[in-house]
Amino acid sequence: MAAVFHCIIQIFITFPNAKETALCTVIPVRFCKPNPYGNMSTKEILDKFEARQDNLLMILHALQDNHPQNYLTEEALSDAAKYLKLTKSSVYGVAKYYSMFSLKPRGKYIIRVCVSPVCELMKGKEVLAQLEETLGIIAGETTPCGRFSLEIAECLGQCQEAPSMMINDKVFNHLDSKKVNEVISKYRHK
Amino acid sequence: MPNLVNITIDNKKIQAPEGANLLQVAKDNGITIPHLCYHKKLTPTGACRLCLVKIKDMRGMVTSCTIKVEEGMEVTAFDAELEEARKYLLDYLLAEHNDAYDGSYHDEFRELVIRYGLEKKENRRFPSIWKELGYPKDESSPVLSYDASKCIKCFRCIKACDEVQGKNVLSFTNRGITSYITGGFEKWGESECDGCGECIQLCPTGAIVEKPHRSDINIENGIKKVRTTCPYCGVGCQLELWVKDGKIVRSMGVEDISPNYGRLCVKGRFGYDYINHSERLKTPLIKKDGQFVEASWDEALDLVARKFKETKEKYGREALAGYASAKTTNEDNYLFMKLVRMVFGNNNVDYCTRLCHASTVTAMLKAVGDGAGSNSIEDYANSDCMLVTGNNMIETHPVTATFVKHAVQRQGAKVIIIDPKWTPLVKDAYIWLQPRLGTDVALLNGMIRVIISEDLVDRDFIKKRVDGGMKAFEDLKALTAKYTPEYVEEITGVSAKLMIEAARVYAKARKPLIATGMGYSQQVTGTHNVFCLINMMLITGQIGRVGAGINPPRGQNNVQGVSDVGTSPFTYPGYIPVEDAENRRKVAKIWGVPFEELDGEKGLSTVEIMQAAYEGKVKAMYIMGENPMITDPNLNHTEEAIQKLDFLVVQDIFPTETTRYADVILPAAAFAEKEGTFVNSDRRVLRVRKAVEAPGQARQDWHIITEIAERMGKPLGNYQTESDIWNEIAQTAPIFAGISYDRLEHRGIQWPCPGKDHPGTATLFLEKFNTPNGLGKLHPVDFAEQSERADAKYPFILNTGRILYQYHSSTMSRRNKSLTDFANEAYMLMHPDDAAHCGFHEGDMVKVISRRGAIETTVRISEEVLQGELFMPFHFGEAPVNKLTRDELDPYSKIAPFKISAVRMEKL
Ligand code: SF4
Ligand code: SF4
Ligand code: FES
Ligand code: FES
Repeated sequence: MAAVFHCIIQIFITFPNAKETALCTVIPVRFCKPNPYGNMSTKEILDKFEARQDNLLMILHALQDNHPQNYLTEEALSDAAKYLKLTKSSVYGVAKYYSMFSLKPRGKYIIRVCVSPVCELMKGKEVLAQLEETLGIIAGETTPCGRFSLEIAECLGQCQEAPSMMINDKVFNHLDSKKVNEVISKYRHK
Repeated sequence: MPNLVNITIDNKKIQAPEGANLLQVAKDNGITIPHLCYHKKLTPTGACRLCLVKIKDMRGMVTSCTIKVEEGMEVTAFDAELEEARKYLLDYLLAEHNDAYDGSYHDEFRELVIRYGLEKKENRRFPSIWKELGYPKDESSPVLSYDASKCIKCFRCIKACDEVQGKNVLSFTNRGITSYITGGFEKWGESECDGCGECIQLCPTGAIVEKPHRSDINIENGIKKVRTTCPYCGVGCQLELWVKDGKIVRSMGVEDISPNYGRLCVKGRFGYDYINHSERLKTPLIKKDGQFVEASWDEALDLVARKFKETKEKYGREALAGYASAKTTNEDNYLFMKLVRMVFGNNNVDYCTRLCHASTVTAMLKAVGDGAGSNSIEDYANSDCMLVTGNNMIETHPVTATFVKHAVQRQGAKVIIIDPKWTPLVKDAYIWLQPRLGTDVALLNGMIRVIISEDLVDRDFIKKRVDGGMKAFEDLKALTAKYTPEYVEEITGVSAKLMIEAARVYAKARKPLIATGMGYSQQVTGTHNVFCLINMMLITGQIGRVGAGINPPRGQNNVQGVSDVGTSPFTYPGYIPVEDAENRRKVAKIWGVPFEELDGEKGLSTVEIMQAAYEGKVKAMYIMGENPMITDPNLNHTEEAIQKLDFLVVQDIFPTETTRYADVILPAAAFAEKEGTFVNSDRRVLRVRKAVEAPGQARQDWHIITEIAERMGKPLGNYQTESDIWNEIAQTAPIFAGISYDRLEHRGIQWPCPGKDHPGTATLFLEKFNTPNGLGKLHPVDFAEQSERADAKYPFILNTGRILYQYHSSTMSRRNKSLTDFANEAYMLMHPDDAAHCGFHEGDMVKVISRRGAIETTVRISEEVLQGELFMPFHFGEAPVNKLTRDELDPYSKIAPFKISAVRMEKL
């Protein structure tokens, strides 16, 4: 059953824009990277961690990864808060503080463009502008089809090879306009 | 005492305790260094940087709020450079700040802006950018609004909620310049916030403000402020009521003063609107042909006096009785008691204590000689172990609970909770023991056995301070021998391991406090439960020093005081037994009546009065400020009893379930309309002051009482003011002998206070107990099964209790929109497995039936209760849970078992 479901979605997604828009928003997509938790319930995920407050970040990562739309729902945050005996706002504050967490549904591919000083010096902002132009969204948004989310990021630790961006957990360095185009079109059809 | 060190600030020589906060030291010495993020109740943050100073031998400018004073420190607090730096910082803050001001709050930020000449835009260096930052507003809370554009990110609210109230509801969200405060997920109203308002009180800029009456308040214009004592629970928080045009428009906690040091709960802060409610009783009412018609005071009082007199003449003095009130002042209750003893001529006077702590008090009187709490509320903050039994402290005594949380959060104290139902304090607890309802005696005997078998007893203490010494101890040891952990686990359902650990922690603690509540007292075995607690306390020597002892927090604002002033069928003022002829002689002299006229036999207690009414023995009753038609057990029976009375007078501030049955209703003044005193849970006599006028023709309770006595031909005395009444109380009750109004002007005094220069007593029993021989007494008691148990016909055991937002019969609390916005519905908690088994869903309407009556309510499903047990709050008149409870009494204290009734449920 799971396999069939998988295929159906994939087919729709590779179709041209119009249809994609209509269907992708209805059926959540996620197969950019295997979900290590295999779509478990929130409770099952929480049970994997000891109820210690210093596990909060790990738990939030797991919950986000587990969600087909790559984000933290209010239910997930509430459950995590309860589990760790924290108040809602302290979990929320953490989730909002770190740019790697999203509280809004996100796309299949999350593009995170570094805008920290070194990258900025190496024209990182141009990379961002180009991506915004090509994808038709601004940083913080997701394409209507649900394929790409564009985000800005703090230093990715790649300063030697700036400017840099990441798509999900893959890093791309030495970006210029040509390279950005190549990468994106590859992901469009991936 | 810390060492004193010498420092100078701007060349002024100052002595201060070593390590004290520099900013605070300066402030205390009249040098106010500008500051915003610092508040003396909170740990320093160092966020606003306005408190910059220069210190010799330190580089540059440093924030004084984060500096501790040291010997020889030379501080410059003001010079041109510092002032320029402050102005610059302030200017910078202003750029991100919406400086609109509506005058409804104290704005510390604005004061500084004015001081540094920055209120005009032309004088500012930086352009205003706050409008571009897209700051949100959060209006979702019923009681407060948050406006991020006014927030200066000083952390005070976050710390107020966390460090002061122990709740930690608030956090920052976002980063840098666009960050702001969030409650929950940016929806304050859906967060854990319970509306205590600490964050409002400490916010320096009006970013967090109260919703109620905001548009009525201009702090510079026509606001009268009156300090008084909260009318809700027995913590006795000190309030400052703000009055505008004769109406209360705000309530603030009074800082720096015990017992609350500025803290309040939602009821104290937002529960005052009832005072001005349109349904207040405003004229005397007399029932004619089944209808209440308005009457003049003369008409009403004459009728009352005539009827009482006739009843006494016709049926004898035993046919009269009175219920006094834990909501009114000591002065009111003292005169009420005097009326019953002197004019009615009997001792049939009681009040609701019989429904709450009578068993605790009975056990404590027998075992240690005093029924009041042995310690001070503040002692919780320094305790290392708190045993909380049947006491939902966070909801019933929220401000006491803040001290408990401080002990846990600041110094790792261990809280042990014994409660069949989850309470919010469980979150802070080290161990939660969840015994089945009604098995407490077995559990405590088990703990005692552990203590004895592991030799954690304090032999010295037993030998010196326990009646019968080691011999009495041996008796207890013999009785508890059979309560092995396995046996106890079988009866109570509590894991042996946890029970053993709890016993060890308590016995080994340095400063353990027991806080015992209604869950322990409101059982047929209520007195026994408390005996067991005291047994455990005595054999471990965990009383008789500062910070150790037993404390039953009082439910109502003045439960303590009403007993203290002798409003009891058994005791005269100061707990002197009615039978004590010597004392009666003394009191007769003070009252100017012949000694023989004072009845030397015990009178009837609360529930006994109702039973006597039912049997036709009590014919006429005077009820002041009580609502037995909600609060008494077995209501159907109470109703029949009340209907059998020939004549009933009810004196209250609102029509209640009880006034309906009255022949005459007398309108009285509410707490904010009175002068007088209350006594709180830690025996502190606190002043109550008049803030507003009583509505219509409503009168002071004590005026009404003296009028009735006078018209019955026996004037009570010549009192001009409440202070005159108090002075007479102090004469009759030795525990109050040294207290007078002038001493209470600034702060309360804890009794016993035997003389004018006595400071009051923070801890009882330091030298000896108050029993006749000065020794504590063990009372070994065996576990007995409850007489009412679950069976096939009534398979559930129902527990009752209170919730944070409502108060008792909710006569007052439900007339405040702020409180009803939080919670306004009756419900029944049921375990998920039981619900599944019965096919009930969340929100289903059900009928709950006991052997005595039936009510309807909605189901809430929750793991807060054990399987087979149910819980229901008793505040709501439309689902009066006391129709289901029993009036079978604890034989010792006559308390009724509100906590245990067998019931069944039917889906509607
Ligand atoms: S009102 Fe009280 S509980 Fe609510 S956020 Fe403020 S301090 Fe915390
Ligand atoms: S809301 Fe008030 S107390 Fe809280 S950070 Fe902002 S300004 Fe400070
Ligand atoms: S600044 Fe961009 S990777 Fe370090
Ligand atoms: S008061 Fe010292 S930094 Fe704010």
